[in-house]
Amino acid sequence: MKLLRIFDANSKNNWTSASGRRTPETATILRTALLIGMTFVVLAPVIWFTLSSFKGLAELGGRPHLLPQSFSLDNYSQALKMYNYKQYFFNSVFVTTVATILTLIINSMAAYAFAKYNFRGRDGLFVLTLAMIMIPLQVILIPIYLVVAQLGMVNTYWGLIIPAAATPTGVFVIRQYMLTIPDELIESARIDGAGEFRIYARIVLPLARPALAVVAIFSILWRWNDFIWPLLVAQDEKFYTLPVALAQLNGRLAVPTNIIIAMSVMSIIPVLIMFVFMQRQIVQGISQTGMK
Amino acid sequence: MLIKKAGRRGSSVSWSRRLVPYLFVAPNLAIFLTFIIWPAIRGFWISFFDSNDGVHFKYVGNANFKEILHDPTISQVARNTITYVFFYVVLAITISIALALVVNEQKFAKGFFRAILFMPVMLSPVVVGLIWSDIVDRKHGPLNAAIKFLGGGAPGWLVDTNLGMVTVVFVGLWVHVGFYSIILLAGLQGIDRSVLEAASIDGASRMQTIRQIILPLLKPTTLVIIILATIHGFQSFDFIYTLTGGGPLGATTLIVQYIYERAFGVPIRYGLGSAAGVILFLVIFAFTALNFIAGRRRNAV
Amino acid sequence: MKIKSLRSKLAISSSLVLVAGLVATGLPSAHADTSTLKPTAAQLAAWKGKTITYYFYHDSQAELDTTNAMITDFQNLTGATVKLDDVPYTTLDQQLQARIAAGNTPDVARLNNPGLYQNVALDLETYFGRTYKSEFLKGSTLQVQDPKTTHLIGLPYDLSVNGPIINVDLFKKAGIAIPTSWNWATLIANAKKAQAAGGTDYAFAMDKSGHRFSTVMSQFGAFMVDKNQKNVLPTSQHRAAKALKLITDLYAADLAPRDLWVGTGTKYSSPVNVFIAGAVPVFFSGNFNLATINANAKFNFAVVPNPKELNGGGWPGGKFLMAFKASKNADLAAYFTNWLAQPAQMERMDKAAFWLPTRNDLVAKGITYSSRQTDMNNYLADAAATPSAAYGIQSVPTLTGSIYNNLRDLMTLVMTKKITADQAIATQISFIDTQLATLKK
Repeated sequence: MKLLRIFDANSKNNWTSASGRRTPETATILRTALLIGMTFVVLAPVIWFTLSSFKGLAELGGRPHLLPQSFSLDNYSQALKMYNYKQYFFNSVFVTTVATILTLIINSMAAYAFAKYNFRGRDGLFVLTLAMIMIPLQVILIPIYLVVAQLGMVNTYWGLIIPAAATPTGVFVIRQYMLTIPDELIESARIDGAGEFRIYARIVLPLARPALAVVAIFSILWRWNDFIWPLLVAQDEKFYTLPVALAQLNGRLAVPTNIIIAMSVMSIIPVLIMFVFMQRQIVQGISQTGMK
Repeated sequence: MLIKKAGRRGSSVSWSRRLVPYLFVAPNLAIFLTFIIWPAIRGFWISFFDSNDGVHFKYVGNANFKEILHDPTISQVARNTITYVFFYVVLAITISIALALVVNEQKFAKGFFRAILFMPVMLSPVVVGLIWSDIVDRKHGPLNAAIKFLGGGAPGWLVDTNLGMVTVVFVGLWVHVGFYSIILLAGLQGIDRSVLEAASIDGASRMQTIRQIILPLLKPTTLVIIILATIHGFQSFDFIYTLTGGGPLGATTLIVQYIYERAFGVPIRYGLGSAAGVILFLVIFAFTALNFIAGRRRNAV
Repeated sequence: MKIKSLRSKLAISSSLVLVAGLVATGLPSAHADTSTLKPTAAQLAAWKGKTITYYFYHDSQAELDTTNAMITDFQNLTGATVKLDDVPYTTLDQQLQARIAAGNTPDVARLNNPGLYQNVALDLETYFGRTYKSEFLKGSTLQVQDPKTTHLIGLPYDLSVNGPIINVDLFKKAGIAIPTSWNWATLIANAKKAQAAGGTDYAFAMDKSGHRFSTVMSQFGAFMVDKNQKNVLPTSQHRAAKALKLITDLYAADLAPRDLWVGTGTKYSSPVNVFIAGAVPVFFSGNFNLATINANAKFNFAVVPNPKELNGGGWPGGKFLMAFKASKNADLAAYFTNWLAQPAQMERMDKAAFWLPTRNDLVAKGITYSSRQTDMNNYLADAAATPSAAYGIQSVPTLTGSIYNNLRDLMTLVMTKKITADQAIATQISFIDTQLATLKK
């Protein structure tokens, strides 16, 4: 807040872009400084970490140097050779994709019902859905585990995918957005004789794209990085997702730190790529769903 | 014809239209009931039992709750959790609003800065713990190397009980603040430009505009951030556990780790873990409810 | 549902066949020597195509590689399949308990803490006879004995010995000869000298473990539990506090990696990477880290005898094999467990991973290691010199885990100057009392 006060002291009417102001003002300098500072705080640790991924085990235990002794890809090749990185990667991709698709389908269906229908128990169910947002996973971790175990879903892909697919936040976000879709569109489609499911799939869903994008992105991010639940459910190595594999490696008697770092860097890359491509949609989606 | 159509519609409305919403809600509801509601009820029920293997349960009444409330570590855990959540939420809101305001005004490379804001939230908590435990390492971390270069000492970020909490709050903010800023940015974009132009025409300074126009209009979004930050704060576990293991000396052991260790430590004590979970839920519920009510009341005025 | 009942029908009928076959050929368990045990035709028929899960963890890559090779041999021998589940050491018990709770019990497991699984372990004597126990070291078998029937419910798989490993190059640089016998004062003095000469970060490092520290206590003549399940720490209180102060002072003075100990909360952490990086001249660990150090260290190192105060020698530890009652192929699981601990297999593993044998016949014969023979001889000598009182705590196998962990947590408090060594020992005494009291219930 102090910074903003300085803005005030040194600049007056800056809102509408003034014409012809060339000299950078204190406000702009401070703002740029803050932005550069923020960029440094965010990027520096990640860059440091990536540089560390080229360092050998002995090098990592010694004094910190910015650059590794050599940019050898030893850690990466070891990670790929000695550990089943391909399997972990596949599991992460598979679980994330299927879970996100499942989430989008069932959440949007429920959201549509809450937004556009009037049925007995609608409001009560919706409030219940909202209340679920507040239950942190860890609170019901044990009972969910016991239920999943009784259903025989432990150590299966289903156990990884299904239990968390009914995200209450997703239902909430999509429902809010669907409220803004004009009822007339739906009514006229009904008059034209379209079936209810068809209306949902052909008319409402496409219109709800921004909300779906937001929920999709949240789901992808969360599932890709989810660690606690998969750690419990994926008991066999063949079901490990990337975060589980990293956590398991970190728990060894002699921690192969260099391998872990290389694997971590490899696990960040897909998310980064996805983000670079979807950056616009993410922000647009969030703004259009009107987080109000 | 209209009447006929209405009549036809009326009869088909009654059963298929009435059934359809239930069908739409069904899949979501089925998963909800099976994997959230039923376990929540069961968890509440288990908290009155003792179990070492999830198969055999022995009724112990409220012994678990008594044990937790009398556990000498629980007061430390509660204190740690409240400290963490308090500082995390307050700082998260302050910093994210500041960053959102700053980025919003930026004309050049706005997209780049938005990307920077969002990046940390994309990292896995395990990776976050690994990155930061390396950076703040007392003897070999680059942070202390830089501090030493500038003439300072070498603080034990993860080994001093106070610094441990500072580090953990910082890392928590590092991960989430950008995400909150993005949401706030969206809220800022929703503010009608004409209101701001009117203010500047009236001669309002930037500070006045921010304080008297922007912030109040941003309140609904701010409320969302407060609730999100509170929930994130209480749920913080993964990266903390990777970073400090709850140390030093339990200084960064929060309630979720306490639950986790009771349930999955050695030996397992499912009943005790569930009881701790019930307590946590009640606390979060109270917190969120208060927040919501307070926010509603403020808006009404 | 159908499949399940069919499978169980098959299981029942095949086990009946097996029992009939065993009775007919005479139970192999009637003989004490099971070393020439080969599967009978009936067994081979019953086991063909069956799969069992081996829940495993490894201290070194060599163990993992050798286990995989042995599994291939076993699969060729029996026609059955063994699925290896390799889990991290730090969550060994948690994950196993979670699997048991989920009905996902493995068939065979390699364990650190066999006392936790007494209720679910398979009685091996029903397969191999009452005299089976005598094939293994007596002290070790105490830890895998059913508390009520004293039947053998697991096998000692390896014997571990705690003790110091030194960086020879650093010692040489400081002009110190490799010690053949010493006491703690000399060890610490030498460590400091080597640190000064080499400019290393630390002088001394120890695994973050109450079990490792118990070695030091033992050398000073302090013990926690005796063979009659009695708390004997009160009588050796001052000696224990002396040992505690000795080690924690090193940590408090930053001569040992305090951050690794304090900054990891309740998680296990080993400074083995610090030793491998050449940053500490004396590393108090055990033979379980020898293979890793051997594979990664780029300097000369050596295992040296434990320092001698009142006592010499090390502190016993080890890993165990167990088969589980819930196994759907219990006889195959029992056979596999036994097979892994047969002389040929055990010797193979011991040589590859620098393990010490737990079979009496192998101990008598002695194992020739391909390298590091002097190191292993030192460990053997220390194992022999371990005072018998050190084995006392094995009388309470269900409590050792929590007793060691509490000791470790108290050490953390002492090295951060929150409590004194005397207070720590007093607290540990009452902790042991409460733990022992739970046995009476």
